[in-house]
Amino acid sequence: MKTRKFHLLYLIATACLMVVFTVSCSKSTEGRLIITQAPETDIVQGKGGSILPSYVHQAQIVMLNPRKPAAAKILTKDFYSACSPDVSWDGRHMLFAAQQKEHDTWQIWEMDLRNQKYHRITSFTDNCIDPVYLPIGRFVFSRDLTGDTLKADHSLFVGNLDGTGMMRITFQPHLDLAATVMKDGRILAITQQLFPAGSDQIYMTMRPDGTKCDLFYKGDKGSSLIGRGRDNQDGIIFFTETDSTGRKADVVSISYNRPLESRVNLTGSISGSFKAVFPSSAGKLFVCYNEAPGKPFALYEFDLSEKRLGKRLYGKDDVTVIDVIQVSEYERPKKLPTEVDMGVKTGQIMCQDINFTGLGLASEASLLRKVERFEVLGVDTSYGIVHVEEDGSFYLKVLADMPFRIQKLDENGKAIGEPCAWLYIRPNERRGCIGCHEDRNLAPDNVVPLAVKKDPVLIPTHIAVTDEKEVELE
Amino acid sequence: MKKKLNWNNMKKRLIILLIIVVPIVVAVLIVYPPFHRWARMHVNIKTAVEDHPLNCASCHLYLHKTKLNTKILNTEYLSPFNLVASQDGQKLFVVAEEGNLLLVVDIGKEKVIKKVKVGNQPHSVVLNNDETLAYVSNQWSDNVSVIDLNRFEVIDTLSTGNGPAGIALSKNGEHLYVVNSYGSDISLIDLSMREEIRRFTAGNNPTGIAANPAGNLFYVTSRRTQGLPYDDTVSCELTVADDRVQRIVERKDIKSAYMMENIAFTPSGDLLFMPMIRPKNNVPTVQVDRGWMMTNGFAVVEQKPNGRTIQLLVDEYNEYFADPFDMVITPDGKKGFISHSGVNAITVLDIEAIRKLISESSDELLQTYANHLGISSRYVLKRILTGANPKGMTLSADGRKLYVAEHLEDRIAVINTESLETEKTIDLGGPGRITVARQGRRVLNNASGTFQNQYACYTCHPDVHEDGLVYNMASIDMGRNLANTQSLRDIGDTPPYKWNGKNQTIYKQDGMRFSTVLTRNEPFAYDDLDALVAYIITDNPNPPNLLYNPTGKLNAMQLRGKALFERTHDMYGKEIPEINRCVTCHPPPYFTNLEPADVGTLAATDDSMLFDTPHLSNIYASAPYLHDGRAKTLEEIWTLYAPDDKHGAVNDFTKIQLNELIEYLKALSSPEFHMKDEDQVMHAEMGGH
Repeated sequence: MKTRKFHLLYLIATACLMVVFTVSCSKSTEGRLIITQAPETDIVQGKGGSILPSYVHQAQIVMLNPRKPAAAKILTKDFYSACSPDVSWDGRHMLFAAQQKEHDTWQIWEMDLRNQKYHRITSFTDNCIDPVYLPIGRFVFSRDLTGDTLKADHSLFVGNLDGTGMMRITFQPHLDLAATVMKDGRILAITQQLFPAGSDQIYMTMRPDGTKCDLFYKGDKGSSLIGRGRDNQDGIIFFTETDSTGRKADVVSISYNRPLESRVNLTGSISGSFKAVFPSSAGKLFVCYNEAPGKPFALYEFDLSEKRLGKRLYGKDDVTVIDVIQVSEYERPKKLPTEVDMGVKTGQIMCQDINFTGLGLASEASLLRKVERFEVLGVDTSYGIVHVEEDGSFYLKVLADMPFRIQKLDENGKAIGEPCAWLYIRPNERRGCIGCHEDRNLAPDNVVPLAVKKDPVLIPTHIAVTDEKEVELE
Repeated sequence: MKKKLNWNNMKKRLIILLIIVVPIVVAVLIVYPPFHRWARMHVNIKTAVEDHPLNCASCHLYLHKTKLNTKILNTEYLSPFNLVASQDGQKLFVVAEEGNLLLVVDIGKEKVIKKVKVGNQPHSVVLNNDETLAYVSNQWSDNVSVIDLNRFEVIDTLSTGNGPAGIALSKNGEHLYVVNSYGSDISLIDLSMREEIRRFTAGNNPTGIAANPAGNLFYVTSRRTQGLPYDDTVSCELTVADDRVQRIVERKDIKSAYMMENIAFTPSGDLLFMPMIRPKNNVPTVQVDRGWMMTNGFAVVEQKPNGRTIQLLVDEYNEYFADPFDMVITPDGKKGFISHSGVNAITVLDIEAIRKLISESSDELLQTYANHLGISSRYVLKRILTGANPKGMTLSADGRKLYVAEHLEDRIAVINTESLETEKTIDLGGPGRITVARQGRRVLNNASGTFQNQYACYTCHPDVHEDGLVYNMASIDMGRNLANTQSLRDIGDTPPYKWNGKNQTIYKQDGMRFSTVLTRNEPFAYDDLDALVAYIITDNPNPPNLLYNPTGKLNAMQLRGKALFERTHDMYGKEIPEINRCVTCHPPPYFTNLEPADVGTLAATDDSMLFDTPHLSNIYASAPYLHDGRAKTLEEIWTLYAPDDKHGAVNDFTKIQLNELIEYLKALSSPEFHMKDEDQVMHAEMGGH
């Protein structure tokens, strides 16, 4: 009888221990902060003088408990340098970019935060940085394509977490860096035009297949985006942005609903500069801050309602903290379906009225001239001249994944104003725009553009046919 | 007796045995590899995906319309739709659309104190001036119930036109204006005579009605657009009746508008507001982002000579507020509230800010604002979240409380109009559980399945029907393959779906492909898809065809039309080839043979295809007709678009005969109604021949 009781007690105790062990394992990292620290703020200059926040020498990814920050644990001690951590939606895994040895290329790795085991995901001959989790087994990252035939710097790629299915999704001559994945499932990326002339960094958004690439946020002229945008549960996106002098960076918030009109500088009244920001699950912000140039950045809390710095959580004299993220379970972004069909070689774009300028630019006389034709410009060539319809509409079928711009022409064939921003169409993508230099806030008028009553103009115009899969009628 | 008891016992045992054995057998079969493989293939074919859970009950239990199933699985919901508050602020009178009830709610006690049975599918309620009587419009009974509020019983029933919806009393309380939503007209009822004395034509599918503050003019909104061809500017009619002369004095086309459900006046009467949708059906459906499918807002009509009609959006650049339904304005004229049944929210408007914006903006600027997704920041004060599918709203007499009918929640939300917070909700006593079909109804009505909540299934299928609009789906090239929206009512037994018949099941229709080309969002979770399909198939009947077939028996003209529909020989005695007879492709009970056909309607802008033969239940309510909506009326199908007898042999008809055929077609309704006719039951049983 006693033996039976003992066995029973033993079994119960074992079961309890297993439960405790399981729970503690699964929760052990919940609420912890993962920071990136580096001995110096050495950064690599990209093409066109672009600033890459990655490629930091001897950076380390460190996990710490915000209540006991002194007991920080280096997660990437096996690496020469590691940075850009991103935590999975279930709070269990971490993607990061790292060099194993000093002269290795940067590649993407994934770590199980519960046991710190890691594995390599990408194996390219060129650098891969800035990984971000996409919903359900996929991720997006930025790959250095400076050796590519197109005038691109870094472009975005997506792939499976097992290293398969890598696909390029951005094609303009830009520097593209993945920033975050928003709740609606779209990628928010920092992008900067490099060709033919450099421009300011802006936030672009696109679906995970690269379609519907569009402006999301643009700061004041000369401003620069630093670090990743991070959104909270209330639809507010936080990021750090320098002013036009580049000397001071502030924490800025924008609303997801109205990104172009809702900018709030949260730290304008605070001297010093900010490098990274992350909204905490408790409604505060974690920020990387330095009091004065030359001093290392340290990790602080930031009170959103009071707009003031809170407790200093972590910092050392010999290292600078360049990034922060909190480990937690997050609402998974939506997994968006794709219209891309790689068997199709073209995509389509329709414009309602090339002469329509919307509210903001209506007073610019040069743009009010009625345009009857335009030129489709490639990176180094012209893809042809297209006549617009009487209502100003045009309808193009464009070779997919090829950057192009629209340049309005006058009756003598001379360019009117500047061409539009770089565009690309993914295979089988369909896009629409209201006009050139349109107001981003405008929805289309409910009219049938004359151009879609005809067949689309194939671009480049010298191509007569494309050998592509026939699209099935839905 | 003993024997009977034993038999009863045996029956019970048998049922218990079946309850235990059947699931075990099914479970064993499912894990048995060959059966599992077969089941996997079967589900893959039905759902057009390879990972839908193998849940036999999803189809074999929840999709069956048998009485037993309905009794076991479903339950009676109330579905509050519209409501009014008593002047003393103590009571609410709530129309329960599915319960067929007028509920009297004691606001203080937060409970229903009386339930009065009214007609079928009640829509709206209005109280007389001394609050002794309530008038409830019964949309599926074609009448108005008159309720004595002292005795809480129906004391009279007043006949109306077809589908009575919005309802309003004249200032002197002598006349009742009833908006007939299916008949597209307005009944004027003399309450002393207790009968309809006049009927005015209104816009297409009118519903909302309100008097101006002076009480002399009645304004009626319409939901569906005027019957204009694709490529033309859509517009909805605002109809104005003058109570002094008892006739229509103005018909105003509200351009680019659709689903103008209701009306609200400012207390001074200077502005009239109508929630509405601005659809983009003429624009190729290439994207959802940036308002390329639907935008939601309201129209403002200035009430002065040469007053302008202005349209403004309540949407934002990255978030949309689908399906604006009702609007009320506080007695001080400062705040307006719009219920959005598609996103479970109320938008709070600053009326003064709107007035200022309108007064300081040029006509040209206002035209641009009508499409502007940023302008709402100038006048939207707040969004207040509600329960599922908020519909009608009413304010307390002092304007301090806003009451919202949470249609698919069976409760009323009480919102403080100062703090703009929900103070409490009043449970109307509906069933606590949410059935699979009810969940499906919520899914259908909610826009969260669409990218940035831009539209719900309901938006294009209001009342689970269709919107009367033609879209350019642009699936191959833009500008080609136009598609006339089809009704979702009573479609469970009429596969395949879509005009080209590409989707064999509703699972396929609303699954992955739907998310790729229409919602452009994550596909419905399988639980939600199961529920949506269950709702569409089992709980979604056509309204009774009271306009053309109120008794289930055909009149003489319709019978002559029926004979023409079923004829085998033409007027010259020559046999009509079977393929050219109406009844061959449209046999009862659903009047479709479920097969594709070429009826000579392929347009130059269509890719080569055959068209699925549509069912004809309640066809009278589904204008426009043909796959691309080119026929505005049933007549036009043959008078304009069937020159070669390919769409049935009709070219030997006289005009009168064509009218007879059309009268018969208009009389067709869902089988449960038309099968009432014994002769037709037999006919249906014999397969229509």
